[in-house]
Amino acid sequence: MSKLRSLTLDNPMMAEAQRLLRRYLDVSRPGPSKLLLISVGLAIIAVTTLAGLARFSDLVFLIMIVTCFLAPGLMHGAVAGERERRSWDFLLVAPVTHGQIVMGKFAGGALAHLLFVLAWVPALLRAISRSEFDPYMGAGGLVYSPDGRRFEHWFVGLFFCIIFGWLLLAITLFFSARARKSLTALGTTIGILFLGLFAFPMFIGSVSGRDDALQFILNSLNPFSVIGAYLTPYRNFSEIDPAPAPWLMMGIYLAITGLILFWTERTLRFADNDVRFVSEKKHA
Amino acid sequence: MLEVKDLHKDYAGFQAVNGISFSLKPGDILGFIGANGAGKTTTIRMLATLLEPSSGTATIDGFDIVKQPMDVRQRIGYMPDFFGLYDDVKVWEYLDFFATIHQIPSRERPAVIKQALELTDLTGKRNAYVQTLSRGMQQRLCLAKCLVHDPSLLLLDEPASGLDPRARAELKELILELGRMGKILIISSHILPELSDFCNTVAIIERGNMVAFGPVSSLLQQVRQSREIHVRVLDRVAATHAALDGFPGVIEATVQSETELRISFDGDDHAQANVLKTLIEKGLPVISFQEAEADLQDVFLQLTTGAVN
Repeated sequence: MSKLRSLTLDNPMMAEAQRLLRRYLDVSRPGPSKLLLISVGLAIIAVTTLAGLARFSDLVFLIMIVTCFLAPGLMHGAVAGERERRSWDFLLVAPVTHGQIVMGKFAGGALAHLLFVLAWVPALLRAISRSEFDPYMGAGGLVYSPDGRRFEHWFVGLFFCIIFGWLLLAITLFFSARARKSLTALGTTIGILFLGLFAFPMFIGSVSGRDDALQFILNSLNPFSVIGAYLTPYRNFSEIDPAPAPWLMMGIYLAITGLILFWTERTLRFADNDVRFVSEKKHA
Repeated sequence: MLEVKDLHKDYAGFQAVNGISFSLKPGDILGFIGANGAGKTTTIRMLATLLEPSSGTATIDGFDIVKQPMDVRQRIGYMPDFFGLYDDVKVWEYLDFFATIHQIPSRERPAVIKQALELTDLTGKRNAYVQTLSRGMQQRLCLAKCLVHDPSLLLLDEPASGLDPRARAELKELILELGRMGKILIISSHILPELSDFCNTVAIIERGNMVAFGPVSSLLQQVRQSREIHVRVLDRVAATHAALDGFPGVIEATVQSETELRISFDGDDHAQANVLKTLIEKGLPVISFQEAEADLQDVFLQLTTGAVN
């Protein structure tokens, strides 16, 4: 319990969250690209909210797609950037443990991502509060409200985005701790996401025939399939394209996030700024 | 109080540091001298808890660098030879971040930051962005960062590298002030004449071995067993040479040119004054009579062989 407390409530590295928020959210600071990105993001949210253009599931997909780039963008320099900048030693000689450094870095990214997701809440509320027809199913498309699952969908959709973001933040942080260059961490994370979410399932799907069990496994590996199957308003959709329940996958994502953060902490034990996958000898 | 006991560091078959021991008390400013690859940075990184010693240890205010690294980190400030600062943060925010991770209570932080800025003469830059500071100011900001938690030991690895003469002079004043405040400073540098200006103790390291350690004055004396006096005369250099022959304390007098002699001398100050007095009493036209001072460079060159790891 005291270990958990030292990693969270009593963790001085939580100041990293404040530093990250100052860096990315204070538009008065230098960096026109940051201002441009924030402006474009707010404009998209405003348009979708006011016009009610998007369906709820579309918005969740959009948040997840942006998260695929936002999380690596926020976290790729967390450790590798410190090494490149030669500021890493300053953290290593501070009275904080490697675990506290990892948790501080992760918390900074998680808070920034949470603010990003929360900015979409009005748009998500607007989307889920109206009945909608699926354009692909013609006039007989099912509407949301009759089965009373509207609140549950909203809740699950929102939390799925947040926890999916945590997973990506942890993966990026892990590669950042491994890599010497922050761009290597960025490229590796985005590359793995592309391979895992698109290339690998497409390849397996093309070489194998129709197999429900295989399809279930492939859908399990793809967060977009999991949330897509759940949010699609047709009751029989999950029978067409089976996928595990999002609650189950959120639990799995949380467990994987924890494991990756633990592994990242172990990674930092290679001292001397050494970056190796297998430690032959502990130096410090 | 810093006590280093038989510190070793081995890297896959070669010894980077080979049994270094010394101790320093508050107010001591140690100049850590050695060729590139001699083991200076490795020693400093071990003291900073960044590297675990292969054997031996050191204690800072009684806390062991191997067994109690967290306690040690509360008592040290470390400035590496090459470092970078965070972009897009203001000077006070940068110090506030490090004050926070050193667990300084939030109500005390403004005063601590103010004090560190005053000491490093950066008060006027409090709200400036870090990336807009000059190299000298960034160096001072890094030193301010090292001071926010009031450490008792400061480890400065090549602090003057890349600084212009004015920034060096300011850094020298700051180091002297920190010594007067009772902090222990270990400064590694290649600029030996500057080190002798502010260090009261010197350690010379070669191939991981400590070849000399002690007060600057005693090392200078150790290196130069006899004094060397340079004499310039208007003319009559041969007569001057003859007058010095057999004089008490004069080991050897050598004519350097038509107007210059060099005397190797092992007498005390009184004997040295007598030499000058005698030359003048004999009517020899002495223009200057000056003892050549040994410096750290002489000490370093005489005690080391130039071998590197």
